[in-house]
Amino acid sequence: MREPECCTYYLHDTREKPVTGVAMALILWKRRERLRMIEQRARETADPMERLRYVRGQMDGMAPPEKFQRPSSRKLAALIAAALGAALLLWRIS
Amino acid sequence: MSNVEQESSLPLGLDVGTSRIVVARSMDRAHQSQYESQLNAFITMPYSKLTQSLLEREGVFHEVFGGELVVTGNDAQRFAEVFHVETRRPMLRGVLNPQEPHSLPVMRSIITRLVGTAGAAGRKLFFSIPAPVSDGDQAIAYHEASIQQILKPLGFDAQPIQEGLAVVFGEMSGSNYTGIGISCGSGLCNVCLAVLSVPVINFAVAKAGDFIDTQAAAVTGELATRMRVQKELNFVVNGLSGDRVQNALTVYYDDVIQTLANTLRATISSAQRLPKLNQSVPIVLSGGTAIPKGFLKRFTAALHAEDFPIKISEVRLAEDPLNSTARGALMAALC
Repeated sequence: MREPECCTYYLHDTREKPVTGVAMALILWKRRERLRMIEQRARETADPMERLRYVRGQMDGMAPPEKFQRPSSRKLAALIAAALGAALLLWRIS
Repeated sequence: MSNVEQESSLPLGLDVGTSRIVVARSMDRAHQSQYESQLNAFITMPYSKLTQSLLEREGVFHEVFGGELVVTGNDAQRFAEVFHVETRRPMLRGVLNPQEPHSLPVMRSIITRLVGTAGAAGRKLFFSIPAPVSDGDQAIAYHEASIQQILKPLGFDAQPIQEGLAVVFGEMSGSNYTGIGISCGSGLCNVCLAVLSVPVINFAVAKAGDFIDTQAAAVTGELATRMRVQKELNFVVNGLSGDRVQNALTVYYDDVIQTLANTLRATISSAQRLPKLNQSVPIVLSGGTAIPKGFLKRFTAALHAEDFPIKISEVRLAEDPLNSTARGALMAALC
């Protein structure tokens, strides 16, 4: 028997999926918050066409959890920290 | 840009159904839609110049395929009634009929007649495709590629959309495109659970309108076409009566409803990646098979007969059940 087709690309906060660690819980919480915000904003859009356009646009922008990437803000913070560290090290050596 | 030019560049939605093909056109940017449909059927006649000229004179849409005159679309039904024959179908259970050699040319003929040429190159068009059936492989990929092959030479940028998802787009703006869209057609009942427009579960049940017609015809000794006519005339799904045709239709309608409700319950219960849904979700029924009075009531009762894995806010019939899929496909194309 063939399995029904299930989409997996963003909705990963499942009942079966074990949440490992605080980081994962935080990711899931953020994702839920984001969904809640999309819902709220969509309700403010009266025109069905505009609403669909907005919802699809927002949902298409969601990164697939299977290929989870660090949020860009964290990436940026890590880069700044590395640059500061390197500068401090150079300053200490010189 | 003139109005005509603008109109000929606006996107289209196409419902490629086993029984009917429906095109939805956006008449303006204010989202007024117009629908046009053709029966997805045909009959063949031996070629003769006399018959051809007769068909031409009567304005009957026909083509010549390999020494045969093929009458397609709504005219096929008219001719079938005149000649007391059954119409032939280019599609079976949601996809191109593998036993029908004329299937692709007939589909090309009907689709071209409905959508015309693109006008502007790369005009967007979304067409419906079925979801996989749990008990067999339907060659959906072949079906989808064939429809693309028909539409691309006409100049369209054609994209497929699952039929159930199209129902969600067409009917569920009120719930932010979260809910279960069900299209009860002739070949299949297509189901899609979507969350914020994203399809989560897609599947189809192979019992639908054609199943009811053939089974009821088999037990009453009537033609399947007659069963379909009875169904469309004044049939009400409301228990057994003295009429044996009505009884047979009721029995097989109940079978379809029970199968659909049970499969929906079992599939959602066994889904591995079901999202947490905080709010209850609506179910919308569309398609010709869902139209008879009593269908909605029976389906709702079948759903509530046992625990359902998610909370349901309402079960309702689409505002325009025959055009819901085409409307959803058009909305997808307009996005």
